[in-house]
Amino acid sequence: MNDKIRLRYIIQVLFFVMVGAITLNHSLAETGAGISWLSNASIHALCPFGGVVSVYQYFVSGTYVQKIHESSFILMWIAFVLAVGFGPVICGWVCPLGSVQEWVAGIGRRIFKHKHNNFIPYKYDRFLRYIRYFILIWVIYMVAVTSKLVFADIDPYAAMFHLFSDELAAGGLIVLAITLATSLLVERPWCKYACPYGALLGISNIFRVFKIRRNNETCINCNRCTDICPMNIEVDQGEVIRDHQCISCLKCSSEEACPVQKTVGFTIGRGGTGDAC
Amino acid sequence: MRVKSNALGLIVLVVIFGGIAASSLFNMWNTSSEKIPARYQTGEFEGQFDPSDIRGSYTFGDINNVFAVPADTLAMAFGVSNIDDIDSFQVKNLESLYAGLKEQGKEIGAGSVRVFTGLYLGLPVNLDEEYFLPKPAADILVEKGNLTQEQLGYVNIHVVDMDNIPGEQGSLIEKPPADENTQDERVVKGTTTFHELISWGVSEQQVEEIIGGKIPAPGMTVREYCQNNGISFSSIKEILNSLIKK
Repeated sequence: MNDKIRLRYIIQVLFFVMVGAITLNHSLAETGAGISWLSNASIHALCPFGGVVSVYQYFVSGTYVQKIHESSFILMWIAFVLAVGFGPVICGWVCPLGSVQEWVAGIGRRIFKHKHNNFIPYKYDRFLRYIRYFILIWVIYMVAVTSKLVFADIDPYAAMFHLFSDELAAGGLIVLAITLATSLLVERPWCKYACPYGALLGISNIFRVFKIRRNNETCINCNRCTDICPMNIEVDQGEVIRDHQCISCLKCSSEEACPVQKTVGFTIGRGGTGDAC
Repeated sequence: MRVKSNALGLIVLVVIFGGIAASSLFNMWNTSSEKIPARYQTGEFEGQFDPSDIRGSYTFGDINNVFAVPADTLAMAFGVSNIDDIDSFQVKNLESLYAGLKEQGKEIGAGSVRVFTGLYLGLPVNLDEEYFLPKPAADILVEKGNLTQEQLGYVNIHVVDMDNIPGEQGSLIEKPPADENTQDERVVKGTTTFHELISWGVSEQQVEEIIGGKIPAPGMTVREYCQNNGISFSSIKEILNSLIKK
């Protein structure tokens, strides 16, 4: 693993451990055995998507949807700020469910080699990628109508951190199991096909300030950028990546996959050749 | 300008933790509810707190603070006893206490408390959802006399007899004794309501003379009334016990 890309792995582990510890402490606190110096926030209080689904109720009645708190709103705005600047970095660098899928996919890569992440034909896959937008609309509509976290019962993210809690929903556990099982075949299946929050943040790829850019003049057409992309984006086919599925993981960049310096990068200027910061 | 992965990682950390720190500084980082429910937006009750916004994390004490439904009344309605601090009992715990009901497709939980609180206070309640009430809760509501015919019908259909709850509900549920009205039980204690006092033969007028005011609600416990009005419960209790028809 490249030293510079390893930072992403460290951050992923950091957030996974941190969210896991806090939500475990939430369960312990309810039995009176919580750790006093550690936050005991619920998983819903730490989910920025909770803020998104609460927006309607907040503006209509000034309250949050049940189980959602101010912290969800703060995290929502933080995620939006990051998305405007850098795209869905929350998905690629922070989200514990995305991280777990990546880690399970590592096993899948060893089993299926090059076939891994290429099981679904492109002609179907390209349409399946839009399912998550229907889920996003459905979730926002249903929460607005019912004022309840309707998604919580099938949410694999909540289920993952409720494994040792009596709040674990059977539906969420089933979706989590399916997500992890299919991660052996496909990179980030939940993110690609079903995550409503990923769908929302993915829109930022169209207008984010920093974009993945490929310098056509120095590119040697080795296709490594496309081959490594967990989201199957054809990085080698364009100069600027505006694909709604990009998670800003930078695996395609000249820091990791691209063998030519300053050819694929995260830039404001043209061609990835700008000065580095 | 190009951002490298190390810089992006640091930016992510700084923005997330910086944002949380900044919001904490302005007291905006709250990971738990302040227990302030929504208010009715329109109609006769506009501006009043809406019981349909009672969450599972609310305690009986929170409901008492916001809606002025005494915690003792809630405890009696939902059969919760054998607990040191009734005020700190969280509404969501009812679901596990009454878990045995789920086999019958019934649920007593936060929704039941919403319905009870709304009907207890005579506030509009959404009766489209299937929430069930323990028999003591239904009795309190009926005695209050606030119910419309439709609400009374709902309560009668959604009442659960405490003796018919299958499985182990946990030791916190107080089931009524086999003979509730035995003379030995006619003793004023912390959970005794004004309604019980009257049913034991103490007239409403006598009670009001002793407590020095009108009975606010039949379902209210005498102790709660005393606490609210700065009266010594123990002295009132002795006088009332002497009036109960043995």
